[in-house]
Amino acid sequence: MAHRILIVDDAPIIRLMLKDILTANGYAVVGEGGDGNEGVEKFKELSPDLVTMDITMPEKDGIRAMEEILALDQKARIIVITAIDQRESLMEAIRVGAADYIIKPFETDRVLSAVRRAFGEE
Amino acid sequence: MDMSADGSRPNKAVELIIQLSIDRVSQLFSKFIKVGAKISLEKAYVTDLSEASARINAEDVQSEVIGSIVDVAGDAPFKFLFYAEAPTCLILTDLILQRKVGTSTDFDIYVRSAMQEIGNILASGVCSVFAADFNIRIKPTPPKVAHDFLGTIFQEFVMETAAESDQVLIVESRFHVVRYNLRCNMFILPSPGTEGVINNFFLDQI
Repeated sequence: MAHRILIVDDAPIIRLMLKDILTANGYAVVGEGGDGNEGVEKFKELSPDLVTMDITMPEKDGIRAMEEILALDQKARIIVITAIDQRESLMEAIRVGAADYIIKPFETDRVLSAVRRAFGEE
Repeated sequence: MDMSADGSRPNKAVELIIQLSIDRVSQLFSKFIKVGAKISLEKAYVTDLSEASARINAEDVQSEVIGSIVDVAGDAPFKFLFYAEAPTCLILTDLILQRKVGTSTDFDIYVRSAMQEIGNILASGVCSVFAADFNIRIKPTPPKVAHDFLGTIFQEFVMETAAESDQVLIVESRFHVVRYNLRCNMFILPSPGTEGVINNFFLDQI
Protein backbone atom coordinates (compact mmCIF):
# COMPACT_ATOMS: atom_id res chain seq x y z
CA MET A 1 0.00 0.00 0.00
CA ALA A 2 1.29 3.46 -0.90
CA HIS A 3 2.55 5.73 1.85
CA ARG A 4 -0.04 8.41 2.68
CA ILE A 5 1.12 12.03 2.59
CA LEU A 6 -0.44 15.33 3.71
CA ILE A 7 0.77 18.54 2.01
CA VAL A 8 0.52 21.81 3.98
CA ASP A 9 1.35 25.00 2.07
CA ASP A 10 -0.54 28.26 1.57
CA ALA A 11 0.34 28.33 -2.16
CA PRO A 12 -1.96 26.11 -4.29
CA ILE A 13 0.69 26.00 -7.04
CA ILE A 14 3.24 24.48 -4.64
CA ARG A 15 0.67 21.95 -3.42
CA LEU A 16 -0.02 21.02 -7.06
CA MET A 17 3.71 20.67 -7.86
CA LEU A 18 4.32 18.48 -4.81
CA LYS A 19 1.23 16.39 -5.49
CA ASP A 20 2.38 15.76 -9.08
CA ILE A 21 5.86 14.71 -7.94
CA LEU A 22 4.61 12.45 -5.16
CA THR A 23 1.77 10.74 -7.00
CA ALA A 24 3.96 10.14 -10.08
CA ASN A 25 6.35 8.28 -7.80
CA GLY A 26 3.89 5.98 -6.09
CA TYR A 27 2.88 7.99 -3.03
CA ALA A 28 -0.72 8.78 -2.12
CA VAL A 29 -1.49 12.42 -1.34
CA VAL A 30 -4.42 12.02 1.04
CA GLY A 31 -4.99 15.66 1.92
CA GLU A 32 -3.91 19.28 1.61
CA GLY A 33 -3.90 22.19 4.04
CA GLY A 34 -3.61 25.90 3.21
CA ASP A 35 -2.35 27.09 6.59
CA GLY A 36 -1.08 25.73 9.89
CA ASN A 37 -4.52 25.35 11.44
CA GLU A 38 -5.79 23.33 8.49
CA GLY A 39 -2.61 21.28 8.60
CA VAL A 40 -3.19 20.27 12.22
CA GLU A 41 -6.88 19.52 11.62
CA LYS A 42 -6.12 17.40 8.55
CA PHE A 43 -3.43 15.55 10.46
CA LYS A 44 -5.97 14.63 13.19
CA GLU A 45 -8.54 13.60 10.59
CA LEU A 46 -6.28 11.65 8.21
CA SER A 47 -3.35 10.34 10.31
CA PRO A 48 -0.96 10.52 7.33
CA ASP A 49 2.36 8.68 7.24
CA LEU A 50 4.21 11.90 6.41
CA VAL A 51 3.54 15.66 6.30
CA THR A 52 5.25 18.24 4.08
CA MET A 53 5.06 21.59 5.88
CA ASP A 54 5.67 25.14 4.68
CA ILE A 55 6.85 27.64 7.30
CA THR A 56 5.57 31.06 6.15
CA MET A 57 1.79 30.74 6.20
CA PRO A 58 -1.13 32.88 7.39
CA GLU A 59 -3.04 32.13 10.60
CA LYS A 60 -0.57 29.67 12.07
CA ASP A 61 2.95 29.22 10.71
CA GLY A 62 4.51 25.85 9.95
CA ILE A 63 6.72 25.75 13.04
CA ARG A 64 3.74 26.15 15.41
CA ALA A 65 1.72 23.63 13.38
CA MET A 66 4.61 21.18 13.55
CA GLU A 67 4.81 21.57 17.34
CA GLU A 68 1.10 20.79 17.64
CA ILE A 69 1.31 17.77 15.35
CA LEU A 70 4.29 16.37 17.26
CA ALA A 71 2.43 16.93 20.53
CA LEU A 72 -0.37 14.74 19.12
CA ASP A 73 2.04 12.13 17.76
CA GLN A 74 5.71 12.35 18.63
CA LYS A 75 6.56 9.86 15.88
CA ALA A 76 4.97 12.01 13.15
CA ARG A 77 7.25 12.38 10.11
CA ILE A 78 7.40 16.00 8.96
CA ILE A 79 9.50 17.47 6.15
CA VAL A 80 9.73 21.26 6.08
CA ILE A 81 9.59 22.77 2.57
CA THR A 82 10.17 26.51 2.73
CA ALA A 83 11.64 29.48 0.88
CA ILE A 84 13.45 30.62 4.03
CA ASP A 85 17.10 29.79 3.48
CA GLN A 86 18.44 30.86 6.86
CA ARG A 87 20.44 28.79 9.34
CA GLU A 88 18.34 30.03 12.25
CA SER A 89 15.08 28.81 10.69
CA LEU A 90 16.62 25.49 9.72
CA MET A 91 17.90 24.95 13.28
CA GLU A 92 14.51 25.85 14.75
CA ALA A 93 12.72 23.40 12.45
CA ILE A 94 15.14 20.60 13.28
CA ARG A 95 14.97 21.40 17.00
CA VAL A 96 11.16 21.22 16.92
CA GLY A 97 11.37 17.83 15.20
CA ALA A 98 11.50 18.14 11.41
CA ALA A 99 12.91 15.07 9.66
CA ASP A 100 14.35 17.20 6.84
CA TYR A 101 14.41 20.75 5.46
CA ILE A 102 14.00 21.53 1.75
CA ILE A 103 14.54 25.00 0.30
CA LYS A 104 12.19 26.35 -2.39
CA PRO A 105 12.47 26.39 -5.33
CA PHE A 106 12.97 22.64 -5.07
CA GLU A 107 14.11 19.97 -7.51
CA THR A 108 12.07 16.77 -7.92
CA ASP A 109 15.04 14.62 -6.90
CA ARG A 110 15.55 16.55 -3.68
CA VAL A 111 11.91 16.08 -2.66
CA LEU A 112 11.93 12.37 -3.46
CA SER A 113 15.22 11.81 -1.70
CA ALA A 114 13.89 13.47 1.50
CA VAL A 115 10.65 11.50 1.38
CA ARG A 116 12.41 8.19 0.77
CA ARG A 117 14.84 8.87 3.60
CA ALA A 118 11.98 9.71 5.95
CA PHE A 119 10.45 6.31 5.16
CA GLY A 120 13.81 4.53 5.48
CA GLU A 121 13.77 3.70 1.77
CA GLU A 122 17.23 5.16 1.04
CA MET B 1 23.41 49.36 -13.42
CA ASP B 2 22.18 52.78 -12.50
CA MET B 3 22.23 53.65 -8.85
CA SER B 4 21.09 57.19 -9.26
CA ALA B 5 18.81 57.66 -12.21
CA ASP B 6 16.42 59.78 -10.23
CA GLY B 7 16.92 61.41 -6.87
CA SER B 8 20.15 60.96 -4.93
CA ARG B 9 22.44 57.95 -4.82
CA PRO B 10 22.40 55.53 -1.86
CA ASN B 11 25.61 55.00 0.09
CA LYS B 12 28.20 52.26 -0.64
CA ALA B 13 26.95 49.83 2.02
CA VAL B 14 23.44 49.96 0.66
CA GLU B 15 24.67 49.65 -2.93
CA LEU B 16 26.52 46.47 -2.00
CA ILE B 17 23.57 44.81 -0.31
CA ILE B 18 21.37 45.77 -3.24
CA GLN B 19 23.70 44.10 -5.74
CA LEU B 20 24.05 40.95 -3.60
CA SER B 21 20.28 40.77 -3.32
CA ILE B 22 19.77 41.12 -7.07
CA ASP B 23 22.29 38.33 -7.74
CA ARG B 24 20.53 36.02 -5.30
CA VAL B 25 17.08 36.81 -6.66
CA SER B 26 18.31 36.18 -10.19
CA GLN B 27 19.43 32.64 -9.31
CA LEU B 28 16.21 31.83 -7.47
CA PHE B 29 13.94 33.17 -10.19
CA SER B 30 15.70 31.21 -12.95
CA LYS B 31 15.54 28.04 -10.86
CA PHE B 32 11.83 28.46 -10.09
CA ILE B 33 10.67 29.16 -13.63
CA LYS B 34 13.19 26.65 -15.05
CA VAL B 35 14.23 29.07 -17.78
CA GLY B 36 17.21 31.39 -17.89
CA ALA B 37 16.39 34.86 -16.66
CA LYS B 38 18.52 37.94 -16.50
CA ILE B 39 17.73 40.42 -13.82
CA SER B 40 19.11 43.88 -14.10
CA LEU B 41 19.10 46.61 -11.54
CA GLU B 42 17.45 49.52 -13.26
CA LYS B 43 17.60 52.13 -10.57
CA ALA B 44 18.33 52.53 -6.89
CA TYR B 45 17.59 55.97 -5.66
CA VAL B 46 16.53 58.02 -2.71
CA THR B 47 13.49 59.99 -3.64
CA ASP B 48 10.33 61.61 -2.53
CA LEU B 49 7.52 59.05 -2.44
CA SER B 50 5.03 61.29 -4.16
CA GLU B 51 7.50 61.74 -7.03
CA ALA B 52 8.02 57.97 -7.29
CA SER B 53 4.27 57.37 -7.37
CA ALA B 54 3.80 60.06 -9.99
CA ARG B 55 6.49 58.49 -12.18
CA ILE B 56 4.93 55.01 -11.93
CA ASN B 57 1.54 56.46 -12.73
CA ALA B 58 2.90 58.31 -15.74
CA GLU B 59 4.66 55.20 -17.07
CA ASP B 60 2.15 52.41 -16.76
CA VAL B 61 -1.00 53.53 -15.07
CA GLN B 62 -3.28 51.64 -17.43
CA SER B 63 -1.37 48.36 -17.22
CA GLU B 64 -3.28 45.57 -15.54
CA VAL B 65 -0.80 43.63 -13.43
CA ILE B 66 -0.70 40.93 -10.79
CA GLY B 67 1.55 41.85 -7.91
CA SER B 68 2.82 40.11 -4.83
CA ILE B 69 3.55 42.34 -1.84
CA VAL B 70 5.60 40.96 1.03
CA ASP B 71 6.17 42.71 4.35
CA VAL B 72 9.51 41.66 5.78
CA ALA B 73 9.79 41.96 9.54
CA GLY B 74 12.84 41.95 11.80
CA ASP B 75 15.97 44.00 12.49
CA ALA B 76 15.95 45.67 9.07
CA PRO B 77 12.36 45.62 7.80
CA PHE B 78 11.44 46.34 4.22
CA LYS B 79 8.58 45.93 1.79
CA PHE B 80 8.95 43.88 -1.36
CA LEU B 81 6.86 44.04 -4.53
CA PHE B 82 7.09 41.74 -7.53
CA TYR B 83 4.71 42.30 -10.42
CA ALA B 84 4.17 41.45 -14.04
CA GLU B 85 1.59 42.40 -16.62
CA ALA B 86 -1.36 40.02 -16.61
CA PRO B 87 -0.50 38.09 -19.85
CA THR B 88 3.06 37.58 -18.57
CA CYS B 89 1.68 35.99 -15.38
CA LEU B 90 -0.05 33.32 -17.47
CA ILE B 91 3.25 32.42 -19.15
CA LEU B 92 5.14 32.38 -15.84
CA THR B 93 2.55 29.97 -14.44
CA ASP B 94 3.01 27.59 -17.39
CA LEU B 95 6.79 27.77 -17.04
CA ILE B 96 6.65 26.98 -13.30
CA LEU B 97 4.30 24.06 -13.88
CA GLN B 98 6.40 22.93 -16.88
CA ARG B 99 3.36 23.02 -19.15
CA LYS B 100 3.20 24.12 -22.75
CA VAL B 101 3.16 27.91 -22.83
CA GLY B 102 -0.39 28.96 -23.68
CA THR B 103 -2.03 26.34 -21.45
CA SER B 104 -3.02 28.91 -18.82
CA THR B 105 -5.72 31.19 -20.21
CA ASP B 106 -7.66 32.27 -17.12
CA PHE B 107 -6.52 34.15 -14.05
CA ASP B 108 -7.30 31.23 -11.78
CA ILE B 109 -5.93 30.34 -8.35
CA TYR B 110 -2.78 28.86 -9.86
CA VAL B 111 -1.86 32.07 -11.67
CA ARG B 112 -2.39 34.14 -8.52
CA SER B 113 -0.56 31.50 -6.55
CA ALA B 114 2.37 31.51 -8.99
CA MET B 115 2.79 35.23 -8.40
CA GLN B 116 2.33 34.73 -4.64
CA GLU B 117 5.06 32.11 -4.58
CA ILE B 118 7.48 34.10 -6.76
CA GLY B 119 7.08 36.96 -4.28
CA ASN B 120 7.62 34.60 -1.36
CA ILE B 121 10.72 32.96 -2.84
CA LEU B 122 12.36 36.18 -4.02
CA ALA B 123 11.64 38.11 -0.81
CA SER B 124 13.00 35.16 1.19
CA GLY B 125 16.13 35.26 -0.99
CA VAL B 126 16.69 38.92 -0.17
CA CYS B 127 16.15 38.10 3.52
CA SER B 128 18.83 35.40 3.26
CA VAL B 129 21.33 37.95 1.94
CA PHE B 130 20.57 40.30 4.83
CA ALA B 131 20.70 37.47 7.38
CA ALA B 132 23.85 35.74 6.13
CA ASP B 133 25.99 38.69 5.13
CA PHE B 134 24.86 41.28 7.62
CA ASN B 135 24.04 39.18 10.67
CA ILE B 136 20.50 40.53 10.76
CA ARG B 137 17.38 38.69 11.95
CA ILE B 138 14.70 39.06 9.32
CA LYS B 139 11.71 37.05 8.07
CA PRO B 140 9.07 37.44 5.36
CA THR B 141 5.37 37.40 6.19
CA PRO B 142 2.90 35.65 3.84
CA PRO B 143 2.59 37.56 0.54
CA LYS B 144 -0.51 39.51 -0.39
CA VAL B 145 -1.54 39.14 -4.03
CA ALA B 146 -3.40 41.85 -5.93
CA HIS B 147 -4.72 41.91 -9.50
CA ASP B 148 -5.27 45.54 -10.42
CA PHE B 149 -3.85 48.51 -12.27
CA LEU B 150 -0.19 49.10 -11.53
CA GLY B 151 -0.82 52.55 -10.10
CA THR B 152 -3.28 51.13 -7.55
CA ILE B 153 -0.92 48.33 -6.50
CA PHE B 154 2.02 50.72 -6.19
CA GLN B 155 -0.07 53.02 -3.98
CA GLU B 156 -0.83 50.09 -1.67
CA PHE B 157 2.85 49.15 -1.67
CA VAL B 158 4.09 52.57 -0.55
CA MET B 159 1.14 53.60 1.61
CA GLU B 160 2.46 52.65 5.07
CA THR B 161 5.95 53.92 4.37
CA ALA B 162 4.58 57.21 3.09
CA ALA B 163 2.94 57.79 6.46
CA GLU B 164 6.31 57.46 8.22
CA SER B 165 8.74 59.14 5.85
CA ASP B 166 8.77 61.36 2.77
CA GLN B 167 12.25 60.42 1.57
CA VAL B 168 12.67 56.73 0.75
CA LEU B 169 15.17 54.44 -0.93
CA ILE B 170 13.62 52.62 -3.87
CA VAL B 171 15.34 49.70 -5.59
CA GLU B 172 13.86 48.93 -8.98
CA SER B 173 14.79 45.87 -11.04
CA ARG B 174 13.61 44.43 -14.30
CA PHE B 175 13.58 40.74 -15.18
CA HIS B 176 14.14 39.58 -18.71
CA VAL B 177 13.19 35.96 -19.32
CA VAL B 178 15.21 34.35 -22.09
CA ARG B 179 13.20 33.07 -25.10
CA TYR B 180 9.91 34.61 -24.06
CA ASN B 181 10.70 38.32 -23.96
CA LEU B 182 8.89 38.67 -20.66
CA ARG B 183 9.27 41.69 -18.47
CA CYS B 184 8.66 41.67 -14.74
CA ASN B 185 9.59 44.21 -12.10
CA MET B 186 10.68 44.15 -8.51
CA PHE B 187 10.78 46.95 -5.95
CA ILE B 188 12.40 46.90 -2.55
CA LEU B 189 11.34 49.63 -0.19
CA PRO B 190 13.34 49.66 3.05
CA SER B 191 11.46 50.94 6.09
CA PRO B 192 12.74 54.14 7.69
CA GLY B 193 15.71 53.08 9.85
CA THR B 194 16.75 50.06 7.81
CA GLU B 195 19.47 51.99 5.99
CA GLY B 196 20.88 52.96 9.38
CA VAL B 197 21.02 49.31 10.50
CA ILE B 198 23.04 48.38 7.39
CA ASN B 199 25.38 51.35 7.80
CA ASN B 200 25.98 50.53 11.47
CA PHE B 201 26.88 46.96 10.56
CA PHE B 202 29.48 48.21 8.08
CA LEU B 203 30.91 50.69 10.54
CA ASP B 204 31.27 47.90 13.13
CA GLN B 205 33.25 45.82 10.62
CA ILE B 206 35.69 48.57 9.64
